[in-house]
Amino acid sequence: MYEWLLGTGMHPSLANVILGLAKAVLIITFLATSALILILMERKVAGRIQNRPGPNRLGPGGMFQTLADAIKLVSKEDIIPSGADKAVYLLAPVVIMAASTALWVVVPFGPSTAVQDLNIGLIYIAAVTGINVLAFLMAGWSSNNKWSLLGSMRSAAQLVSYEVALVLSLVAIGMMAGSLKLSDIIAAQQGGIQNWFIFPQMLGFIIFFIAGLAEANRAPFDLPEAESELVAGYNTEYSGFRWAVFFLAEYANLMVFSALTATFFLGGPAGPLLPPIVWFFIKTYAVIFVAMWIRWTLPRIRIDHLMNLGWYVLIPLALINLGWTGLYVLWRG
Amino acid sequence: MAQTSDTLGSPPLSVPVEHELFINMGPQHPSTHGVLRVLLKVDGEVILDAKPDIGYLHRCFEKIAERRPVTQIIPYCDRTDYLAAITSEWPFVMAAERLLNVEVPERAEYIRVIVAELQRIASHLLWFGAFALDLGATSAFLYAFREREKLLDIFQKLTGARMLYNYLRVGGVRNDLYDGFADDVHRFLDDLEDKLDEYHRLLTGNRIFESRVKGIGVVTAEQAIAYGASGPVLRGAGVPYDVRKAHPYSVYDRFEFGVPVGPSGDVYSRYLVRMQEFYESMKIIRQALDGIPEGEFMGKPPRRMRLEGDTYARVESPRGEVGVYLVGNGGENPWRCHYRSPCFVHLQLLGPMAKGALIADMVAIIGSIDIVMGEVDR
Amino acid sequence: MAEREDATRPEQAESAAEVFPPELQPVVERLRSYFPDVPLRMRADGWLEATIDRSLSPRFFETLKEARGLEFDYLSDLTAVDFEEKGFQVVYHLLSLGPRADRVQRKLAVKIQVPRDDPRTASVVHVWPTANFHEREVYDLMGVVFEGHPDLRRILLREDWVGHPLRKDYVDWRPPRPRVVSRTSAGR
Repeated sequence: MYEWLLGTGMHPSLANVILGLAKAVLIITFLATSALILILMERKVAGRIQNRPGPNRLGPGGMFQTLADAIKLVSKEDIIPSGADKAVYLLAPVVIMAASTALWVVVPFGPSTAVQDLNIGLIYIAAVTGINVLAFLMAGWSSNNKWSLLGSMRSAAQLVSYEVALVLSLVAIGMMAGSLKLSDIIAAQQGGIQNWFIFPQMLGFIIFFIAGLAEANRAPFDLPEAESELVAGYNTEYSGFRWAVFFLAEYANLMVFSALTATFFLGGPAGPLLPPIVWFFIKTYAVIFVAMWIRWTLPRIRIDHLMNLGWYVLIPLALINLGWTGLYVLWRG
Repeated sequence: MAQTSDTLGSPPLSVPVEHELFINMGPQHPSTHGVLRVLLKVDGEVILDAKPDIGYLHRCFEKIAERRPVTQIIPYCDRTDYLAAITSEWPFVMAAERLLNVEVPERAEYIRVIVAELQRIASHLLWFGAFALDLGATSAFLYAFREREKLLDIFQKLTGARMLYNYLRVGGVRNDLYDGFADDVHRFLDDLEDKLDEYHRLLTGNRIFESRVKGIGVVTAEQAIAYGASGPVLRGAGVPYDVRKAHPYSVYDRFEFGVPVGPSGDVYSRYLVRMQEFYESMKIIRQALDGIPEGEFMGKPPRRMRLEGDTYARVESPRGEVGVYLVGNGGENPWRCHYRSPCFVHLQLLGPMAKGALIADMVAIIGSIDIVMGEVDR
Repeated sequence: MAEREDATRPEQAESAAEVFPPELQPVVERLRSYFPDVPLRMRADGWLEATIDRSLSPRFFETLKEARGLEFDYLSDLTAVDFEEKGFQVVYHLLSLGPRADRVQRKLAVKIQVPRDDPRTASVVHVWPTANFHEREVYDLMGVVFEGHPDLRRILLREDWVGHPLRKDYVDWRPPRPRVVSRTSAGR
């Protein structure tokens, strides 16, 4: 692509910029489409677990349900609560969308196909997940609503706590692969299922999965938007399209953490017969399915138990995992 | 005396200090089970005080009852505790029968018992679903409703209505059981037993669930008695008082059934008590179906129902002790009909139960009382 | 044997009210030893009934709760009836439970007559905390004031309501709302 642009006689920097923008548009389109698919999948999975069909009226198998919902949401009245801090209120959905999208930059769709395969891939992931916290705080605070405030406070506490465990398990992955680059991590897992990191890193996998669920605000860790307690938490005052953005961002988050789980522990886009990108999607969607299964089965955890789990259980386990990984790497040579 | 407006009394909650927050839960809130408003004073997530504010569903039942003859009041009784309509009609009908000296034939009593226990199962199913939903386990809600649908179909075949039956009458019931009723009910009960195992596996042993309900909303036995609690709230606290056993009415003294009592007075105990009550109700229904005599389904009430005297009739509803205090002065309309609602009384326990709990616990506590606002506000 | 809740005794009319069933005999004797002047009778549905003057009020109930042999620790219902010129009658239904619920045969109804032009009586919240909401409801709907109640406000009606609707002479004070026929439904 880059060579073709150069061939038209364009200045290399301009070609770079255009390429970058094209990739950005591609990613956002990809996110929007996947969110469409994911939302429908969630509703169908929920339906089946609950012994009912899920959406099945619009289109074969309910295919167009999400599209119809999106059209409805876009056409709603745009309400801004009267006492709200307008600038912050309007910016919060933007920030959360940016945070979710930014994580996708390093996700490898193929052995060396990521939007930008950064040398510091792991550090980048650890850094960008922190922006989520900011977005939730902005949304809750600016809404001028006590319930939103409570939701965003809970959310900030939750995200910060689980991020430590998340990052610690990432360190173990880096140690296993000997590099921070995601393509290197994938390369280290090549050559068959026995090389997947999930086996030596079973503990790390569990920690990363749980922390990922918490970072993505998925049940049983969905306190910030716990419907039955906080009405809708930080989301309460958002309606119409702005709420749709939050919703989209939630699914983008879910998908990125599933994709990362697949990348770090399940070998990423690698597997026999089918092209790598197909394997990438298979593995990602498998993890997503498990996450949805968990959501519709388990009750919600209470905030203080959540904090206990994050600090007293996951972090010590992550540290133990680090120790074990160190020994393993030394022994492996 | 001149009509006074309400200026008596101190304000409900003391004025909050610096880091304390005054928060309003309801009246529109996904888990207050109807229009209930709870004023919370919180410090972060910890509740310092909770006061319920009710009256949003007040429909002047007692005033209306003073202007209607007895049979026309029965549908209104349905609508107080609409989730357990039979046990809401029953104390009223019982009170009227006492004042009018009407004998209820045996078959009618058996039918009443069967229908009331089926109603208890239906109500507890809904409680289970809503309780799980509030705690986040959404799927349990749909499973419970799947069971409830079958039960509501049986009710529809029997009484013509799914939820508000208008089935009991002074002297008996409106119509006899339909052919095949016993088979339908037996089939339902057998199926329910399997499903109850499912529910137990889903929730009862689950670590997350237990951490949400154990030790929350504790009521001691003395507190429960002092605050007039009844039903699962009282039994969850360890007091084995059940109106069906203590002051048996109808034909309850002919059946063998247990009264489940909770270990401690917390939300978990009340949950366990209600789950066990499923099995006890099933026992009663099976015994009743086996022993139901042939006969009339309706006694001989007088043509003109002139009420004289006063009486207080009580019944064990799924929520507790429902009572009707009926006063007649010789006319066909009651002079006074007072409805004693168990949930009205249990709401007073909200304050003591919620102190020191977190907001998330508030939801569990309200769910464990099993509130129906129609009954609270009448 | 447990007294059946719905037993009716039509042969016990007002005149034979002095015959008490054996399980209530000790209660009657205890009660008479504390308050010999209080008239007691058996109600047709198996409840012992005492009618007291409101001056006896808090002391009577405190004795009912505390005294050995009485120990009525459960207030089942507290309500009021409007008898027009005769005034209001506040009715209490009391039970005795105990921690093992083994005293349940003691059932007592207490009636207090309160004049219409001065509808006040003592509160029993300090005896049975459950009376809190009950007394608020009676105040709200009937207008009987309970002295000593910690928080006597309206409970079912909204705070600015005027009047006590359950009274027999209650007149709805709200102005009638004009009936509006919508003209926008047709011809759009």
